[in-house]
Amino acid sequence: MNILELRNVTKRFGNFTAVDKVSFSVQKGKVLSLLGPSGCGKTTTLRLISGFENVDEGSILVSGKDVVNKRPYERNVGLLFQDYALFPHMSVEQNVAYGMKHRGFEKKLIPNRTNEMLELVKLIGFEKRKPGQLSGGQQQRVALARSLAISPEIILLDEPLSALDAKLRQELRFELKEILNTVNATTIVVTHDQEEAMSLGDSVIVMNEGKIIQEGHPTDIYEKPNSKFVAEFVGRSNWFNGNIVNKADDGILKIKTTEGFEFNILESLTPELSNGNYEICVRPERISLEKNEIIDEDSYINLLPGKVVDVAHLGPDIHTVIEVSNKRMIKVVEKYTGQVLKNNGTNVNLYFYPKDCIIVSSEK
Amino acid sequence: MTKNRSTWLLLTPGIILFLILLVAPITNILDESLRLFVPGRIGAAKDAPYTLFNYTELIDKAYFFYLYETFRFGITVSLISLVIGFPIAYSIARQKSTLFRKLAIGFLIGMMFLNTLVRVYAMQLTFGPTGYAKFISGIFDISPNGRGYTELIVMLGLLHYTIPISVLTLIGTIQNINPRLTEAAQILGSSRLKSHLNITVPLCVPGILSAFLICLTLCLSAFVVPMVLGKGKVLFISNLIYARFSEIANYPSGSAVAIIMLVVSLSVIFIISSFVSSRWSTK
Amino acid sequence: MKRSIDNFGTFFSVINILLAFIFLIFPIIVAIIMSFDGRSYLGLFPPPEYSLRWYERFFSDAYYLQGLKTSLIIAIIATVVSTTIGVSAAIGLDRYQGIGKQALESLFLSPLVVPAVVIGFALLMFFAALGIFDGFTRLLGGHLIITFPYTVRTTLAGLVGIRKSLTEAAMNLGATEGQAFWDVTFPLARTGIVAGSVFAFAFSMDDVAVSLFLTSPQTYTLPVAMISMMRTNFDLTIAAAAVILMTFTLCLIIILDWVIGLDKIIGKGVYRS
Repeated sequence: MNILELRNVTKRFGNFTAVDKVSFSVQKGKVLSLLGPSGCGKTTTLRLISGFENVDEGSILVSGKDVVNKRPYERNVGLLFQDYALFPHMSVEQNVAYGMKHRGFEKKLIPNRTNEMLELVKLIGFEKRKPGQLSGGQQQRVALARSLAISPEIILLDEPLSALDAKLRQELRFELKEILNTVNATTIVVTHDQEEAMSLGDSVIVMNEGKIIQEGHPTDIYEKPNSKFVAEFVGRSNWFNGNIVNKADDGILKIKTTEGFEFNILESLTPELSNGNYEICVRPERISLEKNEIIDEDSYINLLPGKVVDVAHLGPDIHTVIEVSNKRMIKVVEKYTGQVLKNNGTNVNLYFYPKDCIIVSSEK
Repeated sequence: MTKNRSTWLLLTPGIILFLILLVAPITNILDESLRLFVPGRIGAAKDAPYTLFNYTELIDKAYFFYLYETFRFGITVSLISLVIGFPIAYSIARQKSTLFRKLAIGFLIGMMFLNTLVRVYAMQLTFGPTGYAKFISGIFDISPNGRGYTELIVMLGLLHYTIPISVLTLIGTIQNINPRLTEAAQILGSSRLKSHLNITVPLCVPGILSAFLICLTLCLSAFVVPMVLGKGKVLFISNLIYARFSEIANYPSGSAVAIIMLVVSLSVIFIISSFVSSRWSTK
Repeated sequence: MKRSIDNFGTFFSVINILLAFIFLIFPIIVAIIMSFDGRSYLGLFPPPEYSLRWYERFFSDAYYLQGLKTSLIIAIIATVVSTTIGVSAAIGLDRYQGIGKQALESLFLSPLVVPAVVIGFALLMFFAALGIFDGFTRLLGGHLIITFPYTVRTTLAGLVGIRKSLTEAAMNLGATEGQAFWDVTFPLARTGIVAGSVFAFAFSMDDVAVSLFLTSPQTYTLPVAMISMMRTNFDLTIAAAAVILMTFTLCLIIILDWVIGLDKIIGKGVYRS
């Protein structure tokens, strides 16, 4: 059942089209991540859904009813602001109870539900505190409790984890998922952080310049991006540009790159195109520096010789930069499991499978 | 109610207030200033003919003198206030102790709130014949009854008002200057004094100009200070208007002077503000 | 060499502060001391003996008391009306995003830059043209227009500091615009509003230039009474009046500190040292 549906929603500010014929839907109990760089229109979309901007064209249906003419307080949509927007002059429990008061909840039921919400976000005992006395993570939980207290049909989270430091972000990400699951909330998360988007979302929509570029399961977006933009945005990449030179058997194609390298790629992963020119992306973590990790000798594995120019030990990972030809640098990321680090200047071979080559058309 | 309607409803009482109590009266004296004054009648006749005489009459050395006097005092006093006020503002701005800041700012606001009459009267008691007139005029070697001493007292009276105001204005400006900048200058070898002259002061220039403008505007409109402390020897434009009104009842001429004073004040403000905002664009 | 320059500079700075402080406070102290002068005439400072005679004179002088009463009444009414209309205007200004916003703001703050004499004179002429010769009405009009900018300015400053997301959060949770204003904006803007009222009251009590034009023989404010006494009978009753006014000022400062905290009036700036 679609809780939320956007149909051809368009919003312009003067000559600038912030949201361009955007259509998507969210099913009950699911989490959708809207991912994109600043200015891509994701925040505007959020404000259109919550009612703080008016659409120029299109309709927004909440549980089947078009809400474009409704004021924010007439929509049953929850919104978690990026700066939390907790009322500084009210206590935690007053903040959480605010929505219930104004949406006509029965007075005697409010204290119970407030309690329920605070228990959900694990902040029992904080009722009388003021927002100024809370840490960033605690403020976020109060804001979440406040938004969920009114049982909205859909809840919108605006960059929920961006204001927190890295460690806290990981903890809260898990807790957030748990909380949203417990109440079976239908959710949209808006973010510019691909980790946030992929870890929270059941599906991901990548936006740029007001349009939807790709929609799908996080894994699909990561493994099969439909454009260079999406590929770059959701993960680290090494890029090559080349044309198909011939077709080997077993669904393998051979591509020759501008540097003169020849790669094997899978035909099934290669999109149809008009000019025969492709961009090939190989993710750093899919490249191996050790031959003895390869199992299948007949797998048409690709090999590139090169020389180590930089090694950085980042704790759980090792980031190595390898020069494969004149000034062409390739990034490789491996898990650190106690192996000996390579020295600069060492000659190495880079190994990667055809299935790990992401092929996108070189047209925009 | 839509947002627009409610917004206009909120603005309307204020707009009406202004139309009645400011716009209409000024328009009225503008009209009055263009009418012929008939001596012997109070004010101008209802149907007096229009004339520019009230204005042309003022193009006279005597009246330029008033303008000159007012500006002379205004600019001098404003400059002195800034020079004295800046170091004071700096020490308050960089003060870490909240209690000291509170006391200092409270004192300054108190000085600003102080009733003008009280101020002027206190100056009169202190620097007048029953006070230290002889002592101070002795320092400057001038007669305590002469014009020089009167001018000095008028300036002191103005300073008593402008110094607290310039300090309060400058505190805000200085607080927005990064203290690390002067530290950076000092580690590069400059003395502390030089680091302030080269870095703090130049960065504060927009704020300094605003403070100057505020002091100048206050001095130009000064009325009580020159009236009481000036003893009739020092006269500002505002005193001229009052004289026209109370002594001669030449309302058209008084109106003309008032209009000129208004135009001059607004021009000064406009020129300095435009200059500040064009060179230092506001965020 | 640089060290001695710095020491010199610090020395001068300290002297500057001390001299300025003495300059500012000394006349006040002289006035306070003289108000307790025991002599029956205005003699040289300092007084040889002390008494409360001048205060007795003040409180038994109907002329002064009438002025004080009028001053207080006008100040209170002007402050209340100014605050109401001023807060309303400030809210309107904060919400208004159309053309002419800057011009409207300048208009509302304009009495601060129009010379007081011009305001007083213009109002007098205008009231006369309308046939209004009643001193109280005229004074009230004058005080209204001069106190108004203070209430608008501080309220607006307070409103501008309130994040838009707070009212939006309230509306998202179900509050209408009006409810959001009362629940969120107004409590947070309260300090700005109160500060504006304090300023308005202080400057109404202080006003001389505008009041001089608008008083009538029956209705006059205390500063006007003091000025005419200064011209006719320059004695120390005026000192007593001055001290009483100073006490008012002190009370206002204390109220300001209690409501906002004096160190916060200027704010802390972007960098805390």
